[in-house]
Amino acid sequence: MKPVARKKLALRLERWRSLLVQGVLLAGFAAMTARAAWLQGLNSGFLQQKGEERYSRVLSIPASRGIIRDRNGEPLAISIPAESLWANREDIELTPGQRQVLARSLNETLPDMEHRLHGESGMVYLKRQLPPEEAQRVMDLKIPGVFVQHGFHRAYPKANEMAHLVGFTDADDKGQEGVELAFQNSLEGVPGARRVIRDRAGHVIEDVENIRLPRQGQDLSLSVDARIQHLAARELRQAVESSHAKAGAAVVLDSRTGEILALVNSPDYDPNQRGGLSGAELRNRAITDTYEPGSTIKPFTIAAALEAGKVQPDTVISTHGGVLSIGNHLIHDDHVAESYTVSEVIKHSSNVGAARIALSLPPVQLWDMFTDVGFGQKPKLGFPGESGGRLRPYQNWKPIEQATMAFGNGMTVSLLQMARAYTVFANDGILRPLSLIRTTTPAKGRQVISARTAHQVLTMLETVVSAEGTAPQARVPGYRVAGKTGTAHKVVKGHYVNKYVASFIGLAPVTAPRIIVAIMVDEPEGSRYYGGQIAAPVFSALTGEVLQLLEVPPDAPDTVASSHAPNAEHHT
Amino acid sequence: MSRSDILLFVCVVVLALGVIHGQQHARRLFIDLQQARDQQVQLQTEGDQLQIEEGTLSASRRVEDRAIRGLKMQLPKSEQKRLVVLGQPGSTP
Repeated sequence: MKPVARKKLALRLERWRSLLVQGVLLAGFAAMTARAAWLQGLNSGFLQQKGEERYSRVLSIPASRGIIRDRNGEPLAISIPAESLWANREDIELTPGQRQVLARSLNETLPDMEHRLHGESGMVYLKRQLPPEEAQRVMDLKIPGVFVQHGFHRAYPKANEMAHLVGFTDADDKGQEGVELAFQNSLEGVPGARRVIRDRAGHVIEDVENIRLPRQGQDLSLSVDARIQHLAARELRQAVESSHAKAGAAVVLDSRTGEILALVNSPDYDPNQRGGLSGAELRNRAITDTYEPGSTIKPFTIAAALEAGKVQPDTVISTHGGVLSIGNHLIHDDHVAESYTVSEVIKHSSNVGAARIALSLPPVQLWDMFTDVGFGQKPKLGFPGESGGRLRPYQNWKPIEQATMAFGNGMTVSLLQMARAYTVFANDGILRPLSLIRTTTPAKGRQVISARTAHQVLTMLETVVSAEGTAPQARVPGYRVAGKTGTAHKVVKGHYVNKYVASFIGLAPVTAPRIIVAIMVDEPEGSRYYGGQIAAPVFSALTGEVLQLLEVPPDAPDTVASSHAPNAEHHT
Repeated sequence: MSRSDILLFVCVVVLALGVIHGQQHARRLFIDLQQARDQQVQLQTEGDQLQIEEGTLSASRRVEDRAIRGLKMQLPKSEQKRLVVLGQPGSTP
């Protein structure tokens, strides 16, 4: 039974057909494999990135501005988060109801707000530096075209008293005045950025990379002491008010380190509310304004003569009955005397005596002394608007100019320069650089005059506060103090007028000087305008309080004990 | 399939589940970290605000003002002050 009949059933398939089908299928597989290899292997980076972009975001890491503190850690300026609202004028759509609510939230009248929204196209700030809660309230209105921007608001807890020293920042948190401007670079925080992956609900679920690390602003510890600053501000304010003066300034220095412990001006302002400020309030007179120092310069004239060996403290100087004529100019003394010792020239503040001593020196020696203690040069604090005052080159001094410069006319200084110059009498003749920053080790100073001269002048300065001196009102119970009064006519349009700057620069305690206190009152009104009447009492009150605060042991306890001994035991 | 194949298959499944669990755990921890970070920022802000408040309330000028106006206190005048030096007669504590 051979399957003959079946032979007819056998299909005659051409071999090429099966090969074709096989080939097509294989080619299909090959194409798919290649595509898969392309997607999975070679091109995967691009695809993964595309995928991640669907849910990855770059977030900004905020960095806040550094805190400014006083020497004891009291905060003087702190940044807290605040938000700014802005609108895109093209996109904003408001229903009449929303207009009302928005205007109310922004604390503005409806027409004012409308006016701003209908300006040129583009973005407009609706309100800057809002507390986050208030910004959120506006955002909850869900107005299209209104956006929120995160930022910071700067607060100044000590308000007016620290205003001139600390300064303030603008709405972008950039320093505009004072320390805020001087130390802008280190205070400023630089925000960072990081890429994250978020889930559907918007939660961050994974850190992908840090694009940029944030740089937090550095905190700053100033040399100033908020308590001393307050005392200085209070005493100065009272003096300016009671003498109806135009302005005033006070500086307290640590004479051993050159640190500025207090620096105040009157009038002042509140840096937290800066609307409608005038230039007069903003001015940091102690640093940026210069004035003719008057008699407070005399100790340096005397020091120059002592250094040159021209005079000794007990050398007698003829004062010609209080009048000296040079060319067609006359120099007057307030007290008439035929002669004074060098020491008495300081004690009675004799212009004639100082002029005669100055004229006995070559101009260059006087100029050297003034320059060595920093007159005519900026104190290099890095403070904005620092003034160096005016000290003309000695080559063109006329004799009358040299004579009047001996008592502080014809040159200008700032109160800060004056205070710094007096540190030479406190430091055995060494002048130290000033510091706005708290320091533990004092910067290296420079020997300007010999220790002997410094002590001799210091002894003279102590006689100024004696009963016969020009400033008995500068005395401080319990302490030995030394200083010099200054009463200078003001110069208006090149002429001396009957307006005055009353000043007193002093140091205490004399046995081991710790502080320099400089007071300046600008244009006191009325019959009392002498430095000894206006500035000396401020010096006395302030110095006494500061020494107590710093726990400086009294070096003249008898001055109190003797006058109040009978009552003393009731108050212990 | 040999026994070793089955064993390997089971291992793969177990490890895959482990990976899923680990990933889940990592995300949960990350969310906690994120919340802790947010809280840190919030507390920092609150701390700064409290410092501002404290600084404002304790400003010497304000304290003095309130003592003088509210409590009718006064600053002692220099003649009302007594300097007490330890070791001097009349000053024993």
